[in-house]
Amino acid sequence: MTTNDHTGFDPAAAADVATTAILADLADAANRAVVVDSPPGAGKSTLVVRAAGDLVEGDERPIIVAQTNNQVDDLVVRLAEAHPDITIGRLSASSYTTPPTVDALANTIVATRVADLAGCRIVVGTSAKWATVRDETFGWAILDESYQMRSDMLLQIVERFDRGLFVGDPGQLDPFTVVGTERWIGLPHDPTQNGVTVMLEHNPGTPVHRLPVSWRLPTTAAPTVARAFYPFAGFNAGIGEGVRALEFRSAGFGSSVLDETLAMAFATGWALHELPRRHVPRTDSETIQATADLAVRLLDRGAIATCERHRDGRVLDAGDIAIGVAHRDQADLVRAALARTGRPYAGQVAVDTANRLQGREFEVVIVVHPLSGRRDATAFHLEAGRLCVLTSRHRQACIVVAREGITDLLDSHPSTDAVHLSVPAKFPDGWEANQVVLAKLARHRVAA
Amino acid sequence: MIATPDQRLDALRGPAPRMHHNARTLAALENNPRCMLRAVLDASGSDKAAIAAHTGYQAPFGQSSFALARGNVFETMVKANGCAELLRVLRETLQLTLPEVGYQDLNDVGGDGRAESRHARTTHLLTAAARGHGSDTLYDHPMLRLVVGGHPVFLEPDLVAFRVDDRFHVVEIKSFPIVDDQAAPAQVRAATTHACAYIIALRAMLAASGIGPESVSDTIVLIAPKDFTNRPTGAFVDARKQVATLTRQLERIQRIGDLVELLPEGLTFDLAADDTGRPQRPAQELAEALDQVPATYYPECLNHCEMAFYCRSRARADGSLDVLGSAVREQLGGVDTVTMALGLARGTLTPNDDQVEMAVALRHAARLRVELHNSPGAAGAAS
Amino acid sequence: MSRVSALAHLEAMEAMEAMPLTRFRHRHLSDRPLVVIPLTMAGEAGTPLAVLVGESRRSSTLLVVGQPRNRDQRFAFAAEFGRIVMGYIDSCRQDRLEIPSRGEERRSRYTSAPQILVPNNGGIKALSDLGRMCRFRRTDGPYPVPAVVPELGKWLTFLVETAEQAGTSMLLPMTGLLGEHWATGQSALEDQNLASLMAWISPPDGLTVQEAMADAENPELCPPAGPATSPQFDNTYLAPAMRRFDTARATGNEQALAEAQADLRGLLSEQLNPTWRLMWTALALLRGVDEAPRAAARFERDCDSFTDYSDYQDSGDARPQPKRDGAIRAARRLSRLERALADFEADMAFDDPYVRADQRSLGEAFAGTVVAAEPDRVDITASNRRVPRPRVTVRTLDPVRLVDDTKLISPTMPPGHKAEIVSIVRDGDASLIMVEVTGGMGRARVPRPGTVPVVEQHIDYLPDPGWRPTPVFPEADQIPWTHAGDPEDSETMDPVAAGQAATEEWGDDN
Repeated sequence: MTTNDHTGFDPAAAADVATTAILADLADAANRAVVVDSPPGAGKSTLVVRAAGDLVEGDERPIIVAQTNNQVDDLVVRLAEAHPDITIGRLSASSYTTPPTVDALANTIVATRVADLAGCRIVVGTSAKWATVRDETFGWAILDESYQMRSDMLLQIVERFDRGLFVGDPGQLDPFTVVGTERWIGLPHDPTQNGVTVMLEHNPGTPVHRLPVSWRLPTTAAPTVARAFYPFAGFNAGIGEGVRALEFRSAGFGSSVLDETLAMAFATGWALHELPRRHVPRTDSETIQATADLAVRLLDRGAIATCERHRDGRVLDAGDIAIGVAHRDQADLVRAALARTGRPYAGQVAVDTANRLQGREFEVVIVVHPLSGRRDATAFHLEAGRLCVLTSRHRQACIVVAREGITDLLDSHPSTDAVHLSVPAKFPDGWEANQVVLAKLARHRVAA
Repeated sequence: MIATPDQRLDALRGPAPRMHHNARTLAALENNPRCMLRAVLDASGSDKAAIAAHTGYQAPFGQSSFALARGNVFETMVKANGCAELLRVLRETLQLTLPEVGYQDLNDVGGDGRAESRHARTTHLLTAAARGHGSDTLYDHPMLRLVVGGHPVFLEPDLVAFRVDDRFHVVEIKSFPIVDDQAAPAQVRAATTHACAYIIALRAMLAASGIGPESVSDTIVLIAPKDFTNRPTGAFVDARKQVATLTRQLERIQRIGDLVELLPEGLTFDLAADDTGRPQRPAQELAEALDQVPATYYPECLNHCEMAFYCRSRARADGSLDVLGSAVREQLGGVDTVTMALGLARGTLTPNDDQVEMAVALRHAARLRVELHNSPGAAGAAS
Repeated sequence: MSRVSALAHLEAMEAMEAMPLTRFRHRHLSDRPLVVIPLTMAGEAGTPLAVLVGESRRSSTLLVVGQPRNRDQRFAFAAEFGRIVMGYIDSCRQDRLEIPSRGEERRSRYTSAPQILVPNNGGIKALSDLGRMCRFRRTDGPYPVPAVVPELGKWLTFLVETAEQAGTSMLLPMTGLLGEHWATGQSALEDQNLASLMAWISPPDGLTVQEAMADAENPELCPPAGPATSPQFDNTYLAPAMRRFDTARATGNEQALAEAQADLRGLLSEQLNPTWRLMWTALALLRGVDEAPRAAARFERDCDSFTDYSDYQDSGDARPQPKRDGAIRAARRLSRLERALADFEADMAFDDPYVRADQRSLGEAFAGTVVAAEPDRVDITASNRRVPRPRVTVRTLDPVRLVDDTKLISPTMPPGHKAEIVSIVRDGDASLIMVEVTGGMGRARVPRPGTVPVVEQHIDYLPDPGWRPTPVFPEADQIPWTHAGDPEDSETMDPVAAGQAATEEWGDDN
């Protein structure tokens, strides 16, 4: 297992070596595809921006495929800033409203048709939008978050390009379908699989790279996240110990259990805010309220975050905080609970499901544990990717809110996963990953 | 004097002979690890089928003679002529490079069919093979031994192959078909969990001679009829997860002593059989003894546990929501019974602090049901 | 499952009788369905043992395979069953109706479609296996079979594939059909037992639900609805009868053979008849439930796909369905299945207040009373046109979780009604939801009467499922590099492989 406590590891150099190798493979005409696996916060977007620039310099006109409009907009902003002399095309659906950040860019054109972006050296759009484009082909495509793109979606866009750079995080949530069928299990072209896996099945010689350093996760989190969710590949934290820190601007008035949890998280990077044992529906108001209260308490007291970007510290605002949950109704209820506090910033806290938090980054993340209060663990609630997303979005600290009893739930969990012929078992295993995270959290427990 | 856990377990069973685990019952450990009744009955070696029958809830499990016959015919066919068909599948279908083949029949040891003798011979041959001595590659019905909760269990895989990638591979010969490269998941799962018990036992046997676990593969070779024919084909099954799961469940058994200590003194499931083996204990008394141990009933238990029909009758009598299954339970949080749920829904019961929220949601749902009942043309269905 | 449906199960458990889960029946029921009860032989997956089949309660045909392990007998059975099924399918191919279409190609479709009813999901699996076993068979070469065998194989495969698609009605399991419409006080697992499920909905005369449930689990009283027979039956009755049959056949004793055959038929008919009666009783119950308004349009889509497949069969180069889907076929199918599921759920919610109640309890739809209205409100569009944009406020006790700007439709307003959520304000236990009516008011400057909700009107709203573009995949013979490579990955089976499949070797044809 890789950790960053062995001396002599130079994260910047390691990341450089990886990037150089990736760009070399990109320049090698023998490669039809290049895959880059990126653990959380390993500089995936930076790589995409750089690779796009390299391709343009090599006289290519690459397209970039991302999975959501937010991802596309973020990439457009970064590309426009990194390559001010290039015009970036933003391909969009007719219902799309350009956000101010994109609107403000001088070197960006937004259009609904590729033909209207003829002057653009890089064209960016969602996979859904690219699926509607006909007849135009490009030399290279960079497919971002490609582990979240289903293979049948790849099939709709693959005729638009000759070669592909597939970038993504294999540890996050797999794509899924609501249609329950075992019809395609074991097929190399299973349409419910992610696009990368299917492409690799058919192109076994494809170079697969791995970004070795997480610049997002603090030293407190990287080893646990690596061990739980990336048991074979591993990665290191890029930022050394002592660089990141959280402290309160004001002392706690009275000592509430909320303050205790926050103090634990600020001091150690993790906290388990454990509510009394009880079987509850997932909409349990006590759990929902606790997450909202923790966020509000943190912001009210004022937290100063020190990091490599802000060496003198910076006061966190609501946009630095996220609350992550498993289900949409939980997110709705957390938002309602935040709104009830009447704080003007309530709407600024990002509250969303693991699915929608994929690829995003915050300073502090508060998580409702997917197994909290449950009688049984379903495959959905045990899924490693879900917990991985939730516990790997933070730069400073992660607070998990849960009802006591998850240990027993896991201990007595009946094993009912289907077993299929000639299909490799999926790793990391959700049960094992949950155990690793729970063992870590046990040392950061605050009884609420 | 305080009884040891083993003495307590023996007392729970009574004088009847201990029922030993086998691959099937070991595999069943992962079905419902939460159930204390099942754990205690298993650990004490009690005869669950006889107990269930005496309480009036005979388990309906039986096997068709057709299925048994088919299984035997197929296994014989696969192993005929020095496993010729098996070797064809291993080499052609699974594309394994096997060296020249030595076949070793371990069904008995020079006419001695006792498990102990067969186990000794198996240990001798397989350990030697692992150390690079001996030229055998296929071991037919080796006898393995695993200590479960302090008691030895003998396990007998269909076949163990060696020198497939220089490791031991458990080979399962099953008569359910592989149609177009797919097989019924439930049957693959059952075959896999059995094979996991063999893998664990093989590893334990080799570990005693200081040979590491990597000498036994986590990948199972499944041999089964192809499509709708009798011709065998093969497939690999990745059993890493099931091996880990079963290992965990075996570790849980070691903790049975903690459970047994919680049971009332003098508790026994003894059927008080007479000389002819007929139970003489009053059924009511037996039921009362069983009720001393909490059971965790799920409808899925009906598929595999001898006690399930008994447990279901208890759950029904209690109005437990377990009767309805997890999809319904999921909606009801910490509410356990139908009386409680409907009482909260109709407002005839006052919720405690834990139930306030659930009561609100249930009352809303109940109001919607009433609205539907009263709407024009309603409830055509049931009337 | 929502809390409302969960409550229906609790009510059933308390009252000891089934409770309705829907206001309507969401499946089209044919006037003349073909009821099929297949039995298979234990230990030999997909090996037919018998089938009871027929178009009315009083006329059933029993087909029995005397020795299922014998290849010739198996395919003789398939041919006989095939003639019955094909006769039924042909009877649905009598009348065609021209469909008005804007395209140049004129289209027509059969006015009818087959409907095969089996007891449970196992019945579908049995037909699927039979279809797989038959569709690659050849009428020439080694082991030739009558033409009806591969034809049956292809049609069964077609029907089984439609059964995977939500909302279709050409092949349905009775347990699933009943479970869609009634909640019982037992688990979903037990509901898969037709007799047990029927015990809750309509116990036999003179029996309580408890008694009927107990009987349903006793194979002596209620033989399993298949496809597996009970092990006790196999061991006690079937195995000896089959041995007598084999012996008689081996010795060529005609009279003994006839007797053995009659014995087998008698035994199997005893096993099948109770389920036969249950199937028709269940069907009568379902016919008593009103059909949902949108079921008719789904039935037309069934007729469309039936016509398409039928025309393909008539086209001359009809090939059997491949063993597994190729890349393109798989992607197309997934898209079709996902779309059908979404459409079916949307249809049911629109048609049925029970299904909407589920959504309402989850906060995904709402119903309430209009408490305020601005019927004359207008907006000026970008092109400077005045359009009516009335706003109304609905008071609801539903725990709404919808967000502002959600587009809505309403089953309680005239067709075409569209609205959007402007704001949601909590008011104690209730919510005040202001919606703006955006469509369905006619083209005039003033909304047509009745198209804008008025104060005190009770109204239901649910999210507009909207429209999704149909995905476009590459042609089946042009699989792109990301999905190509496997030589076996062909959309249709090549002749050599098909030939091999036809002569699949059989070990013991004893």
